[in-house]
Amino acid sequence: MHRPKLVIIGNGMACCRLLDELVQLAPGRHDIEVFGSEATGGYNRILLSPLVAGQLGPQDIELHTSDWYEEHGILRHCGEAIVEINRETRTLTSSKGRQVHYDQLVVATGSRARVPEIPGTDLSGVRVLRTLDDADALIGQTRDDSGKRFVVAGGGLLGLEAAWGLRQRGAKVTVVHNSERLMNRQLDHKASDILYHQLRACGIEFVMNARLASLSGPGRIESIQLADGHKLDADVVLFAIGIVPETSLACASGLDTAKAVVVDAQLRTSDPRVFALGECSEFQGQTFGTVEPIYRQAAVLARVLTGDEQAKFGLATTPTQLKISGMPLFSSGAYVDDSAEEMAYLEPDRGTYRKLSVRDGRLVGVLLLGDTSDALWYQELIDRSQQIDRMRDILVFGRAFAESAEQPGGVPCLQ
Amino acid sequence: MPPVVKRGEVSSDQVTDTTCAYCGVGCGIKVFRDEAKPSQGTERCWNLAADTAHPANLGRLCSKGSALTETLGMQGRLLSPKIHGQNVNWNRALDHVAKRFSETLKTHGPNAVALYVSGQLLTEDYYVANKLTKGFMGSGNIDTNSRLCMSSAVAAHTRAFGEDLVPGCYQDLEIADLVVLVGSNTAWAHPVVYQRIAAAKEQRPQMRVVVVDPRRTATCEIADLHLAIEPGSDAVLFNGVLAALADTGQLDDGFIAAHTQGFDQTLDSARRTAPSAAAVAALCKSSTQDVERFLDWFCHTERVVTLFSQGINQSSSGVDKGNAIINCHLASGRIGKPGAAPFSITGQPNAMGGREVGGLASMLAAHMPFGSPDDLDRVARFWKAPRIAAGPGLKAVDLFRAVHAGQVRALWIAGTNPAVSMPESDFVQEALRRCEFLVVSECVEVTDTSRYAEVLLPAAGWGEKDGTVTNSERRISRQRAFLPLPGEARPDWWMFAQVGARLGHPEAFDYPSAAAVFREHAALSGFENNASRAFDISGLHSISDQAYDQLQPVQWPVNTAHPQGCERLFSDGRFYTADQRARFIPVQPEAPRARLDQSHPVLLNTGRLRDQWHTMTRTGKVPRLTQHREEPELSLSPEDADRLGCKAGDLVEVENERGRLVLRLRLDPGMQSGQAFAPIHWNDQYAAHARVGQLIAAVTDPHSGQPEFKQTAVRVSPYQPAWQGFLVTRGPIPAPAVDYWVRLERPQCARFELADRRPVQDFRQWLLEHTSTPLGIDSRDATVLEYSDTGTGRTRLALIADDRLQAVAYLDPAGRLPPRDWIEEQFHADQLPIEQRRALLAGRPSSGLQDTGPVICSCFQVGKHSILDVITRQGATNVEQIGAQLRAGTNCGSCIPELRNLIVDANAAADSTAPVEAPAGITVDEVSGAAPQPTQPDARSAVSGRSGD
Repeated sequence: MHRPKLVIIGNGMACCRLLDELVQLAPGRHDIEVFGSEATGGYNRILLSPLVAGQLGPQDIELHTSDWYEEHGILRHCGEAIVEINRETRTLTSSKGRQVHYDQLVVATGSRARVPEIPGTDLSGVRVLRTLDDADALIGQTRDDSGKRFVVAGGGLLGLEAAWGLRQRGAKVTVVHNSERLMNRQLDHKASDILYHQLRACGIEFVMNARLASLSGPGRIESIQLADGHKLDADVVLFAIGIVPETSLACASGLDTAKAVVVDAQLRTSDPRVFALGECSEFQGQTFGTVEPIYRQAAVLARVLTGDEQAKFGLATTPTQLKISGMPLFSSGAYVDDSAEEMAYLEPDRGTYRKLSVRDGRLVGVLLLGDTSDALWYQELIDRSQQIDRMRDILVFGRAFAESAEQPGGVPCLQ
Repeated sequence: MPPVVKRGEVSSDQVTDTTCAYCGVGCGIKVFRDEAKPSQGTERCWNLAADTAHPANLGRLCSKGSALTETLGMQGRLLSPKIHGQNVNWNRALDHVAKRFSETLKTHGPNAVALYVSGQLLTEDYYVANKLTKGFMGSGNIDTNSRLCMSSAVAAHTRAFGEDLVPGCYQDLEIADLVVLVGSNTAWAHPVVYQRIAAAKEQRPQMRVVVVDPRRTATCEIADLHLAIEPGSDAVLFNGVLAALADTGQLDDGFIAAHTQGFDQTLDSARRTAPSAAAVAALCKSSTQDVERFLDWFCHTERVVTLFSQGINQSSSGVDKGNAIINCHLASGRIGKPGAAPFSITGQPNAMGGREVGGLASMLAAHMPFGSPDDLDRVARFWKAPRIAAGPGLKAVDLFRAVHAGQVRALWIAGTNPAVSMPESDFVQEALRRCEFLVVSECVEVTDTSRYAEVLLPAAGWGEKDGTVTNSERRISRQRAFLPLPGEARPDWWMFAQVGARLGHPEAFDYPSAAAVFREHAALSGFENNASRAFDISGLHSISDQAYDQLQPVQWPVNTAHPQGCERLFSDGRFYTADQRARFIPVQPEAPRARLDQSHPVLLNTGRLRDQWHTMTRTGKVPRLTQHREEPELSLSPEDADRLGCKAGDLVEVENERGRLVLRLRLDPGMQSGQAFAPIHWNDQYAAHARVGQLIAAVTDPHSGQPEFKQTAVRVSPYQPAWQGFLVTRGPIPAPAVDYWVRLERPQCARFELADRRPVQDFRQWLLEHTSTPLGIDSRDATVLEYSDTGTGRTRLALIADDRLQAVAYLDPAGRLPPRDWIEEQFHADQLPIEQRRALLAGRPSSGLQDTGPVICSCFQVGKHSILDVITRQGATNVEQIGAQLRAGTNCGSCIPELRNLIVDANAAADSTAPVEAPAGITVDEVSGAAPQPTQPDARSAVSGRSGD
């Protein structure tokens, strides 16, 4: 019996989730072969910061063991990248010169860390945090006793998680951020402010509103120059200023790409036999950097590959979460929206902050810092586009209050 | 119902018999130490009960009286003499007062000094004050706040009876077949008398009650007929009664002939002005049918009591109105008989005592008027007075005009707050500001009046002072001390006597005790009396100190003719005019002076509330008394409010050329259209703009000098605030400078209701500015919890220092605010638990949803407790099983290591059968999880579950 040959390029989180879905949905339907450029198999990349922090070990973040692949009859090649796609012959060439034929191909090449085009990025000591190898190297540099000075470029989600992870190792960490607010894409002024003060209290230093102009060596990095002329001593510079979808292979093979590999609602590229998902994909002009939509992509793609043409991927409000211990963060929807009405609740001493955005009497965005216990309830209200006027004055205080008002004899809400 | 102590329940040495500090009913109460009460400060360890044996109340008490022991706290008390705000000793203070009065007398004569005293002084205080002023300063200028209250009744009595005499007694109200309540919200202003009438009516349903009042008040609940007459038209109604008595042949011709004078002209005048029921109805704007019914009832009921109060007295023609009522009783002979009398009920606990000693500018002493050389001579001889006042002094309104004009230069105000209670109170405040030398003797340190004083003298208060009071039925009762004098506080009579001595008359003011003062007062009442003056308590002139201590309530006269007192006067038809005949007084009804016009279309009425007293210096401190009416309100009929575009609870501005108030609107279907009502109590200590005296014109009755408080033309308009709200603080803070504030004392905290037209940019900053310094908080150590909603403009703030709730503010442009009680209860606890914070700002307890523990799976918000439950109860042994049950760990997977740890640790715990505990190494923030809410109902009942209320 002929089983269609399904090849997946990339062994990251998107790939692993797709495999999970496939073995559940149609075990043995495909002859599956996976190529991953990293030496280790797929792991939970989200947990690299806790790994750097020393809270988790490599075994804690591994997604599937080699036994699991064997058990499900999946052929996996670690440390072996695909270097060429020939779509006419449906043949792939690996970095080891191996040639593989495919019936269906999934591009899951993920992304790489963005490094700015400034002088000195080729110096030794310039790092990113995308892989286990990156994490190991960083941890190694926190281990020698030379008191290395770490500069994290970027005060976004990844930069702060990394800075916090390094700080947990006792490293001297300075975050250089190009805005006056930390996580300026995810947080409003107040939340940024709270986070700033809490991270400062952890011992992380900040240079705000600053742009890196250049890195200076010689050979090894010794200092960085800021655009305003200031200089900072640094032994390690970690770039966490964003990701770039890894599309070079897809581009070279002539697949349609824009910001990333363009796919339709069935995750199909311009070639009907080729699919893409994850951080290397682009749908309706949108690329992806968080796990939730990518896992939904994986679920849809698994159904498509097993012949379900009804399966469709769609964009949805995607929450953001910060993985810093003691500083839970949840944000979703249009929480920074000048045209919306805002409800906010702040406990400055505990770093607890909640902000809800309301438009036309409906919840459209939520930002929770320090206490995310009602996150899903808010998400549900956003998703259901429910009228909230009836519980408006207690909405920000959470579900327990809203429900007590609904109970018989409950104190009715102020309208 | 107040608790009632029956004789024998508490041993007599633990109980002090005394009288209530409030209205003119003069209820007897028993005060005792209550060891069961938690002892936090003076007021806590005392309790009280109605005296079942006191004839005034027979075991009844009202809400204010029941709360008297709650007013004993020392907060705000004046406890030392002060000169220019500095504490001084008594010698220094008294020397200074004597020196300044003496200099003023010397330089400017007796008309340049004055005393302004109070119906809340005891008779002994009043007596010494009167003697000092009239006998030893030679000035007639001693007047009293009773001028504002019942001086029209005094004048009406004097004109009709030859002396200021209340003919009947409370029992008459119970045995009457018709009780007419005129201009009196008895249910609120004299609750125990009201209860007695209501109880009597219950027993004898044939008894009728008629209420004559432009407002339908709480008193109307027992009324068979409510005549909502045109404000101020009472004289027309009673002229109508007189004409009807004649027309229906119900005159007591024999009585008229034998005991009166002036009937014919009086009847003529009545017939001319109120010829028929229809004419009366037209003038009083009532239905003819109602008026007819009233006239019929009045004419054909023998036992009629007409009880009248401020609605009659506080009028530019109040004396005439009083006489119009008395005329009807004289014409029908319904006076001096059981169940038949005109009955003026007084507002204050000892207005009557003041009248008896003559502590009014219009009287000399002991019911002797000015104007008779014999009386002057008699009193001068009795007092051995060197320079007795030659004639009447200035009545209250004129007195403050003279102060304003610089004619009265040295003024001593005792136990009253004219800066609030006088009409045109802004003018009065200016007069006080201008006064060369102002002395205020007071219990309370800061009042609207005391802030202008050069010298403050600390007076003993209720429970601390000893003496007598006389109630509305001429009953003298002892007010007894059960507390030591706090600080340097002294009885008022002692202060007056000390100044008298320092003015060079030590022998005239050498009183060892209140009893000694009383004996002299009693002696003067009988001095050369020879039955010429009804006020005669000479039977008590030699009462021993011990007998004085044990004096039982007694109705004067107490003399050889009536050694045990006397229930009713005039039973013999003898009056106290020269010819012993009562006088009919022809009454030409006068409209109130207030003129409505386009810019002042509303007629403002004023009066008391049930649970407040005067200017709130005492009742304002008692949380449960402020709950009846928390804020100063303007009552309007619902139709008038509609016309204004206002709803209940909105703020309104009430203005005329004299001033502007901002009040909370109350819709009262008992109000007639075009009329408004505002309470008299609020002042600058309790509210921003609620001092109603500011609006009232100093228009007075020509005979009594009593101001017309009941009818004032005003304009009412909606007040549109930029924001409204309330602020609760743990300790006292100065009032914020906003258009509307009301201060409320609450248990463990104080509340301000607030509103202003000017928006506040940063309420957090505003809160810190207004509270941190007075509360003694370094704002750097404080946390401000903050809730805001840009859509509704709502802001709520809580100031916390050392985990202690210090202040909260709830603000909303539209005034939609959460209930206050629950929020105030949060101040009862010493610490504010973290998990209570959200509830506090939500303004409500949460439902206490199942506590799921700190969040482990943040994707699906699964708490630790839920996960442990799945492991221990449902036997989950791996992460996949947990995921299948709770979805935890099935999305981003970040929590999978923690889930594994929970499984391992739970199993280990189960093996050792130890209770499940949090595994070590978990780095989830324990604090952020929802914690259980304390059980609120229990907390609440612990606070309010005071026994015996």
